[in-house]
Amino acid sequence: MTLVGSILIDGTAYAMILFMITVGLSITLGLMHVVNMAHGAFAMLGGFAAVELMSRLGLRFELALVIAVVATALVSVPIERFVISRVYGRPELDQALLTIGVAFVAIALVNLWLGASFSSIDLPAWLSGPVDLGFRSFPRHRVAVIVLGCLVSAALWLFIGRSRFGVKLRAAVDNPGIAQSVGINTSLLYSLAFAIGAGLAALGGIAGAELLPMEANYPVKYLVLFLAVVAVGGQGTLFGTFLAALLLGLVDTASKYLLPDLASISFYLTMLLVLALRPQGLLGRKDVA
Amino acid sequence: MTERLRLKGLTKSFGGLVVASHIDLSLNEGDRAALIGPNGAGKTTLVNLISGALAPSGGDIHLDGARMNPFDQASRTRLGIVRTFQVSRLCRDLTVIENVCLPLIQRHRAAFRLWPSSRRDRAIQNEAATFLEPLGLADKAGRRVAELAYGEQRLVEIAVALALKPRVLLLDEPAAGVPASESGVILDLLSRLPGDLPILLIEHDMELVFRFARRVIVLVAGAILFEGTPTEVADNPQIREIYFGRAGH
Amino acid sequence: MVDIVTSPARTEPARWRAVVGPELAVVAVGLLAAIIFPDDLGFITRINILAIFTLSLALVVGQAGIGTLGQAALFGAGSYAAALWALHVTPEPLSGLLIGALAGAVVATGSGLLILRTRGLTLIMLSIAFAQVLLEIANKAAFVTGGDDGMADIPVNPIFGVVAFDFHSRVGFGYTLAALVAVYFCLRRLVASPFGLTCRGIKGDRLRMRAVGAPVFRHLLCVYALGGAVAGIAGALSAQTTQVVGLSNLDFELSAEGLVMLAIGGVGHLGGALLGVPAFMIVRHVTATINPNHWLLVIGLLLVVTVLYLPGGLYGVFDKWRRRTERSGS
Repeated sequence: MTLVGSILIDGTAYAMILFMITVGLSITLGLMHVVNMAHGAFAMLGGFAAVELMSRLGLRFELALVIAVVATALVSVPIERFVISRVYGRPELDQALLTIGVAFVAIALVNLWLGASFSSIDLPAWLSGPVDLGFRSFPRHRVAVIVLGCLVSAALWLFIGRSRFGVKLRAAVDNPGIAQSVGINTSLLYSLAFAIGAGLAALGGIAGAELLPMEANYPVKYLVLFLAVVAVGGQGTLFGTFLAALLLGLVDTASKYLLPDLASISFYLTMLLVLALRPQGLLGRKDVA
Repeated sequence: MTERLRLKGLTKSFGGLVVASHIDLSLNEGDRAALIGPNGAGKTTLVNLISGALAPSGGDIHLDGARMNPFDQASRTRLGIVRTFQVSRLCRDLTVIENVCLPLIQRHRAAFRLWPSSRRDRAIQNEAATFLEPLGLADKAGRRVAELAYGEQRLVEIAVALALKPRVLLLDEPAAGVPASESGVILDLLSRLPGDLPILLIEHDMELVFRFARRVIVLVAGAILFEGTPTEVADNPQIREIYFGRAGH
Repeated sequence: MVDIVTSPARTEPARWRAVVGPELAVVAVGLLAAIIFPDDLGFITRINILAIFTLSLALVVGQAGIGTLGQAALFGAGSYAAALWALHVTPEPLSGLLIGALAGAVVATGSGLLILRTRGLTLIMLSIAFAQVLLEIANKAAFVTGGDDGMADIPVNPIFGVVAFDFHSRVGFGYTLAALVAVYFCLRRLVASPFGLTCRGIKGDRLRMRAVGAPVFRHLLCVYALGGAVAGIAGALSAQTTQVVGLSNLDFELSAEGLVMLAIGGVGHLGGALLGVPAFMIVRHVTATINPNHWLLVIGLLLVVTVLYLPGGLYGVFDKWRRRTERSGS
């Protein structure tokens, strides 16, 4: 029973982190139709920024987290405006190559700035150690991540489902031509969506620093992982990304606990199975793939 | 007159939405038919059903007496059902002559020839040129399609279709998007198409319809409303209402 | 087919240049490099092998538009097949090449049945997943493949029973250069054939190709299998010249590197592989000795600049220069 409990808790926490990091990638893919291979760099930036803020400026974890997330979102804007937007509408191969180039540059800059070491984030006391939930105790960090993930999902669902921004976003995803002719400023929309995705990635990166350690090679090391979540979930669908994160997160964690030798192959086999049977992803639209 | 194409009870629905409803239509050798109807009537859908891009929910399609239903788009093209696209679909980075060589390669079953042969390849190119000359595009043969004017691209599209030696030709708004200065050439071309080839022309341009068609089929909401000569269609008050709105406009 | 149309009737010497000119250029450059850098023959051999690998990508990605990031699966299949052939059947190298090509083609056919009905991100991910599953299988089947440690001391007989491989990589260099020229010769013809033109048509617009009667899936499977054979040859050469095979021959990193090298050289032309691979390898060698971090920065910037400003890659630049000199000369 404890084993199942551990798998569920660790797997769900892992899934929440994957969701927070990749939701921006799914939005970018569904909205601007760009596969942003450099998306992991935002998670990395957030993580490293938090580390630096805490170690160099001595800020508290909570404050460092907020500043890091906001800073990453702000930094993403010029990157989107001046680099990524140059490949909107261009063939997928060009987009992939450009964004891989951006990822390499990001890795190189982090390497030059911080040296090629692993950085770890010191969690504050209230996030460390166990918490007793009555029937058994769980690690606080995992519980906090799951709560955070649910809050973020709920907030996104409300925001995109109810707000004016959300309506415009969905309109632009479904039909960019009509959205523009109705007066929606798609450029601004893209920048905002991109920034939100980047900020969320930073949040996920910081929250998940224990599971996905911060290192300069982060964007490329976990590239396939992040792309897998988006592909399996279906592009442009938030709920699909959520489901895919849960599926892959739980499968990966379960196999690490139960069949550690086959952990890697079970992840890829799961991805292969889903995409072979449903090329558009779990909740993706049929015409896209 | 021998019958080439026959649609019987052709139906297509997406869930609850019916886009084609019990369409009965036949095209004989040498027919010049135009398919007209308001936007959203299902004209392009019908072309997609005939060409095999869409699978019908019910009904049959026969070409030269043979049932077409199980065949996919590529197979139907090889059997002789050829269509053009409403918005030009050519390989923009290839040259004009290369675009016309592509259907010829298919027709001559040379697609899996992995090694060039100058005799065979030159023969294909010469044949491609014969389809470009009557269109006045021979001098543009080596230019990339992307460099051509849109009207010229529409002509290349028709050349590609003719290169397939079709048994039935479905032209989806050949003059769409073409400025008036260039559409005269297309009109001229239509009048010079092979005499025995049955042609179904989808058009909004009534002038083109009147000059080209001997038969007009009116499609509304996925069903054939009326079929007759151009004059009969023009005089029909119901059709006038559909096209020109209620009295007073 | 393009050559005949876009240039007027050719005189005899010019025809000869079109028929074997590029291949002779490759031989000339290769020999020149070997003469100038006699101590780096191992490095140049590696360039030859990777050039063949990247040619397979130039065919599959550049000509047919199949956006794969799993080509290493075919390279690895060729390596392991050639190694097993050498260890258990015969160390004769040329038959080993054939086996490598066959293995690459067979594995590609399997992979193709899985991935070729999809497009875009799904195709990319399926190609990656296939290659990774293959890698994991190779890892687990240690009794055959040597698992994580791979296989070493792969025997290789003299070529034609006469030319024995030496420690200075002289024979290895000549062997791989000859293979490169042969592959390039065949692929140039493939690209100029009706099959090649049809591939480019499919890359341009699949729906349009269906509408002219092309059996698109069959076609893609065929070109993908051919690409697999070429990648398999590269893998076999790697096994034979280094006498070592490991899991890295199946890894994502190799697939990605191949694509990057092709991108820099120019995706749309076979020549892109021949320019991109040495450029990438040499720049990496030079910058890595100065500072490994700078290498990533350089390659990242190169990619960004290539995509934004030099869409034809190095080959595009070379081609423009060649046309300009041809025009001013004639």
